[in-house]
Amino acid sequence: MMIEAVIAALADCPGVSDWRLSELRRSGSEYFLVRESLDMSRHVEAIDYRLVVYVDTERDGKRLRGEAAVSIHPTMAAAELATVVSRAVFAASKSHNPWYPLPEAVTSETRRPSAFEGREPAEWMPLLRSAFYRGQVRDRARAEDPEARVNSLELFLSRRETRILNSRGLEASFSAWRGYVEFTVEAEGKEGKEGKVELTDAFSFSEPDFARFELETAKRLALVQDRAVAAALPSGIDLPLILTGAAAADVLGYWFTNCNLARVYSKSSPFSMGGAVQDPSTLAANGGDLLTISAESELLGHPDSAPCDPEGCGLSRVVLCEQGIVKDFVGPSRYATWLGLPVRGDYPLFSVAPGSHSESALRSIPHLEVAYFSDFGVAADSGDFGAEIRLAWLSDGKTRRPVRGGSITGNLFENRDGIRLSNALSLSGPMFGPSSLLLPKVSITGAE
Amino acid sequence: MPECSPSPWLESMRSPLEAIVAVLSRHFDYISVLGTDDSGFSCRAVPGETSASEPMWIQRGFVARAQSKGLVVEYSFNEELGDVAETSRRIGERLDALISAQAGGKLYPPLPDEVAEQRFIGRVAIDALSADPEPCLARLAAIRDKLLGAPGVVSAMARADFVRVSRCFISPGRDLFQCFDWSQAYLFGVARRAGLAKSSYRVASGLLGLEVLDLLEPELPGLATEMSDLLEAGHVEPGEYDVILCPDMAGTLAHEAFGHGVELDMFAKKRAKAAEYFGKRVASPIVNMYDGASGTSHVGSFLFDDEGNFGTKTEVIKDGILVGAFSDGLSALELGFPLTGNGRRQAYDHKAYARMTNTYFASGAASLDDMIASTRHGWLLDRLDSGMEDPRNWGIQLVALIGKEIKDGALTGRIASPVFCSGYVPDVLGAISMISSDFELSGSGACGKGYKEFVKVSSGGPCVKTRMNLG
Repeated sequence: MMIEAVIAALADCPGVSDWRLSELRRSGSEYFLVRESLDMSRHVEAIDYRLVVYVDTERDGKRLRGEAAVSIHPTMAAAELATVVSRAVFAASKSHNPWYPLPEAVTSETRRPSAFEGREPAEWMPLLRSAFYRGQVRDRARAEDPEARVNSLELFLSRRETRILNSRGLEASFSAWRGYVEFTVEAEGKEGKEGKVELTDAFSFSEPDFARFELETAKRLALVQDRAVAAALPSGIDLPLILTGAAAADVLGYWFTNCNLARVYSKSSPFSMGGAVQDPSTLAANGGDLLTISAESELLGHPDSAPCDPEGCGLSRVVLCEQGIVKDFVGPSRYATWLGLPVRGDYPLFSVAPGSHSESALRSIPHLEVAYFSDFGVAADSGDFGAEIRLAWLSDGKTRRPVRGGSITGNLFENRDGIRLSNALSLSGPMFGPSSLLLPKVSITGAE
Repeated sequence: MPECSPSPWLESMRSPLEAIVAVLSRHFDYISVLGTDDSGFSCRAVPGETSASEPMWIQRGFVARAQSKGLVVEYSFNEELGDVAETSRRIGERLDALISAQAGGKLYPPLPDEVAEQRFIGRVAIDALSADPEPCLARLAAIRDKLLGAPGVVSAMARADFVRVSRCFISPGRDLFQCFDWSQAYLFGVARRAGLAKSSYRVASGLLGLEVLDLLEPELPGLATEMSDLLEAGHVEPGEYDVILCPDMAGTLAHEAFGHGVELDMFAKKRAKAAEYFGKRVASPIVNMYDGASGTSHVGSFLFDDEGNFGTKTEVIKDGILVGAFSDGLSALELGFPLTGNGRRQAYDHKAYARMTNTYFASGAASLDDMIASTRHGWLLDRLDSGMEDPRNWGIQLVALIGKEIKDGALTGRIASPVFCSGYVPDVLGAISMISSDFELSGSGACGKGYKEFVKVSSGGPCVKTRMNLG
């Protein structure tokens, strides 16, 4: 009903050249657990609307376009709606950018529904809770390992229905389930400064994969046991760095992010079509791997999988970078138009082709492998990366010992011709790609 | 200065909300509803493009909190309230279902509901929400273009966000309303030469309207020079150094070290090492640190928090001794701490947690020149990039975009970027040897809890001199 009311308000408002309206209906349950006890539960029912209006003008014979985006709330009455639409049109009329068309109607691909479908989020919550806590009752791998447990866990599950319409007849709709869990696990640490130690992280999911949930808890408990016995990272270390999981996705995400048209158009990206992002000759000498990266519309188990982008552009895999050469860009359609490139859509997910190194080969040389950082980050502009270390392993290529503290820093431009990728693949954050990667040039600051 | 105009919609909801709360209060041991209508707009100028949109903070909806036999649950929604009896029934049924499903869960003492009726309306010099966006877009485009003209700069972006907060809190005992504006403006640049790229920024923020742009524009020349300097930047040799933290870096040290470290809900989960240190030394004797929605005026200020408790000022560290913590309502109740009005939500559809507001070190007596002159070999660190807390194990990470080397009491002209700073919190705070007489708050970022739950905060204070590991 609100959609019809917005369309009516747009029809009554002079000056609208085009519009796009999205509706998101969400129904979700939330559990906040401390130890095993349910501290609080919450339920959310909401509908969010977002309207983008486009106003065309002409200057010096050139067709120009301005846009403005506003939130529409389901509690807006007709008079307020008319005011909001009118103000958005006024704001859009104040921007005079080169003209660009809206995406035309697309045929959405049929997607397999999530296995969560068929029950309400609230009905799944006790089952999810049980699965995550089952990982806690596994036997300790070694008798000398410190006892580890879940300190707290926040669990979210929502069903989300999205509908996108525009004034050019586009209409797309799809539903998705979004699960999210944030863990804190703890173990009794060594005497001294540390005392009890903890690790915190989170992941998203879209399928009721209970076996995986149990393993995810068990995996984190094993890691916090290592954290509990870790020694301070020594100073004076000069070793290559191995990253896994979310940090590996952040590193490879640098290339994906810089293949976005918004960054290309604003010249924030250093990449150009057909340009090399690596030097093959140097790479070969360093035993590195050439990067092949694709934008993905769907990664099994990832809640950001979608058949179309926020503009309603239909999505399917796009190869962005093949063997170290930029092949394509993705991003908002206006940038594609302005750069004279085909409209591919805007993607949140990506994949990276496997490298040439087995997991064991990557680890066969002395290295530092970091499992947990305080807050690992890669600067998209500069390629600078770094963070404080919460848990790492110092390895001579044969045996490894857990260490903590200190930090690593480096730059991806300086590492791009030596980066080594594992041939094993996994889902980490927004990436399906190498489970591990090695960066040869990093600066390591010890904690001692 | 003229008053901000509160949301007429939210004002019109107060009467039906009072009626709904009256009905539900007969069924639950405690009931309250927070209503929100935060509006605003953003202007943005990037190379070749200007546009208007909204900041991420826009929201309109309700969250009902109920307590029954000790269990506490919440229901968030954003649909029309409609008929009082029908809406009360619908909310009551949802809350009842949550309580049934939570059987065996944590039991809290009765939630307090002391009688209070207050209203706060803020003031700004120039109301951004009713202004024509064209001059704002033009000013942002102008500073974008000037920065793009600076040597080495390949990309520039100017942005301004204007937010009007309107909140009401209704319970059987409380009828609270507040409306105020805050704003923030940014100027970002990217400089590149061959394969090397560096970025930096300037920001302005506060309980301000369009006048926030007056604070940003004068920052342009400094940023343009800095962008050029950054292309000459090198790296710090890893090691422990004397460091002088500029106010945004020092404030983030306070924020990460004993801001997150004394959020009382972390005590309830036994995740805060600070719980063992009340009344004990955690910093050098010259350190005093505060958090509070009142006591200073910035983007973390408000009359009441998202649980209907009045904002206060908490003394966290006094003369180097840990003396205070700040609370959300539930953790204060569980642990017997005072209510400090720090129960904050990202939005109506998020849980309330114990969160910071405005967090800062108190000023000292030194000058920045004195601090530099006293340093044999160290770094002056500025332009905060990020910070991260570790309340359980007291690690800390700060990232500065600009490090300026100091040798023999003077700046050498050598610049490093970025600079990663880490350390053990009591060691870092214990090593604070000088604090400047400056006082400067910055509220252009957002504070998360874990990996989510962003709220608007400010942090800052003076420059502080201490020792940290740099890399």
